[in-house]
Amino acid sequence: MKRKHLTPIISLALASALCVPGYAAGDVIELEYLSGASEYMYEVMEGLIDDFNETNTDNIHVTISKSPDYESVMRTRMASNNLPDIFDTHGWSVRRYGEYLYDLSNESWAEQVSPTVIDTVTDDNGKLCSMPVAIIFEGLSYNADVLTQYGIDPLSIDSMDKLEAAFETIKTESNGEVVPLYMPGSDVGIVGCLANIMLASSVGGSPVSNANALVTGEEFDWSQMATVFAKMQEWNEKGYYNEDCLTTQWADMMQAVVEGKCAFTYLGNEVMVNAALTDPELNWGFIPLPPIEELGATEPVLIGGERTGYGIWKDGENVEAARKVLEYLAQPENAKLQCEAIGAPSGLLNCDVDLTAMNECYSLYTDTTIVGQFDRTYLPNGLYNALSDGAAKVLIGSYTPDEAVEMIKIEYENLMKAGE
Amino acid sequence: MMKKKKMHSIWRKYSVNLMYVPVLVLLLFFIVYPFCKGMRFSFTDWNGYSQKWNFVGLYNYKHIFENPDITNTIKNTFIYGFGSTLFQNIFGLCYALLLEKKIRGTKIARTIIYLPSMISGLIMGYIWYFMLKRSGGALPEIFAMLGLDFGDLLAKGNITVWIIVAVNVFQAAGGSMIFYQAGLQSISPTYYEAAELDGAGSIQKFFKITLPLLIPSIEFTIVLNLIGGFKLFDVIKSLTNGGPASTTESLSTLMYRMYFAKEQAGLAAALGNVMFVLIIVISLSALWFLRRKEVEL
Repeated sequence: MKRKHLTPIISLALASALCVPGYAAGDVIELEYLSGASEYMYEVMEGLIDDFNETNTDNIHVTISKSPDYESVMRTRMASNNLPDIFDTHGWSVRRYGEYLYDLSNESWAEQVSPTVIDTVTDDNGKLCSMPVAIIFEGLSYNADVLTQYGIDPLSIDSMDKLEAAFETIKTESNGEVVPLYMPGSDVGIVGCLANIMLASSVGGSPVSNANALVTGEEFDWSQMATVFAKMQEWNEKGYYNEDCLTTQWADMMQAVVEGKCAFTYLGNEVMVNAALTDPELNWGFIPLPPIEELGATEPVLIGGERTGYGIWKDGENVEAARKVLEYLAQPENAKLQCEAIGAPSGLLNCDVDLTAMNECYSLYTDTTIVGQFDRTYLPNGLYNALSDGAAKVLIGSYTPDEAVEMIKIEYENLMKAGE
Repeated sequence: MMKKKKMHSIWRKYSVNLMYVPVLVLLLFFIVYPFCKGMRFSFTDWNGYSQKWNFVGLYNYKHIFENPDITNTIKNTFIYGFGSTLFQNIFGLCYALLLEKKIRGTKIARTIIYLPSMISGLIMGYIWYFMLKRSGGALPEIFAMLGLDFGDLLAKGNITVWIIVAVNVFQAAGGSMIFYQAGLQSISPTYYEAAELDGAGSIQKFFKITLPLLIPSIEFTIVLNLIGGFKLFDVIKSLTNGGPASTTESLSTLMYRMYFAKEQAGLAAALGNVMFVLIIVISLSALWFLRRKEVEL
């Protein structure tokens, strides 16, 4: 192309670029929000952020994005000290993200944070690390139609014996067509989830347990963990999990739930909320987790703690703008949308989430004891993987429960030493 | 004037070296700098994200071998490295020899064989996951229709390791084939004509002419495949995620798990350095061995 033709084309291109309507540099405060939300929750968040971008009068523009490998991405961002302005804290606001987070204790919504979760999101110095928009309120979720089909009343399951009897009925009467408890354990962390909630109910929830010794560094009775692993192994041997429990993936579980081939899941109500999007006819509910009685726990408990929370990077360039975004997300009507998307109660007192409209089970357990997730309450950061690995090794039969616990104990001691 | 001419001549002679600068800068930023940082972190107790860490000397290097999975992981890594290399080269060479024949459809066959190489390892792993997974997998379903039990091949530990090798070979054999084809095309037909005049058969021609003259290609592909096999990560990640219970873990996936899941970045960096030394030693040994087999023409 001749140069005399090139010059007007380039000038035209530059001129058009300058004329494109949009944000002129310098006028708009750009914020990054990185989310680790599930698909449906992310859609809700996208809608809220779009609304915020359109309605805010401070010229703030938030760019929302999500990563399927959220935790790894966040670790990399922390390592490079280049965090998003706003990000999900997903239960790790204090122990993992604490040193990067802005103190939110003076925010207008801070006094609305529920007493059930405030300690979880506040560090030793009184810094409020996260806005806990939703809290965990979970046990074992079930497909009500499947249980009805096999004559099981979920509300009568208040002991480990009754739970195992239900598993046995489902397995035998369905001729193995329906999985009593689905475990998509291709990701070893999912195997660890079961160990984690069983430890929470049977050890964390046991009045005679000394789980707190794990935090203080005193002598912990590790045989309790071995008992939990032994129970998981027993369920595996009895065929209560899916046959491919160590190789199958999350999507397979969702398919099984929707097809009515799975009775119980232990991965939270969000599984059922998401499955109900595919099958609106799905009847589901949840029950508190019965404990292993021999560990001294006597009553079924629900798992609680920080579920969905948002933090602000303290060294971000636009902390003030980020605070306004959180203020918007904390507004009762917005918090309600977020909680309903994941089927969880709100961590903010002024947000009235009527989850019973979604599922009447939420009204059944107002007096049930709530215990924190075991790893986030008692284990040092980084030990969850060893716990998961130990549980998986027990299930595959390469370790006995005692050997797995011995391995975890060594990792625990190394991590505690590193922590010192 | 003379000085100007001399300068011009020096410039002409050495200015071409400036072309190296962009690559050197990229290498410096993306290879040398991270490598040095990794080396430094291997002597710390860094958790992978905090801005605080302590120097711990050789602690990490001593503790690598205390990991209960390390023996099995090293064994798997050797299987991925040597197993993949062996089969990739056998299949690559066979494909190349076959496609050198003057038969119809070689171009289509070459494209089909090379096609898997164009897909990312991660996607390839997922494709095979959906083929092999016990519930709803394509192959188990076909077997079930025939009244046979396919089993859960992804949960078989030692067998699963070889399945990962097979998937890797399926994906990378096409690449080896291309290198071998290039090598075969560089062998002058006069050697074969002379051998035919001397009454040599196909097998003799292969072992006395083709194979010795292919040594440079073999050398190149073997070293490349060894490095790829020892570093294998993406196929494992998507097919088994190192499981079940770490039975298919490689040094790369263990390193990833140590860094991201166990928050032991210092230990992961030390493992990375051990892996680097291992790959260097094995690759150089292979190179040294194969160089001795090269034929002087």
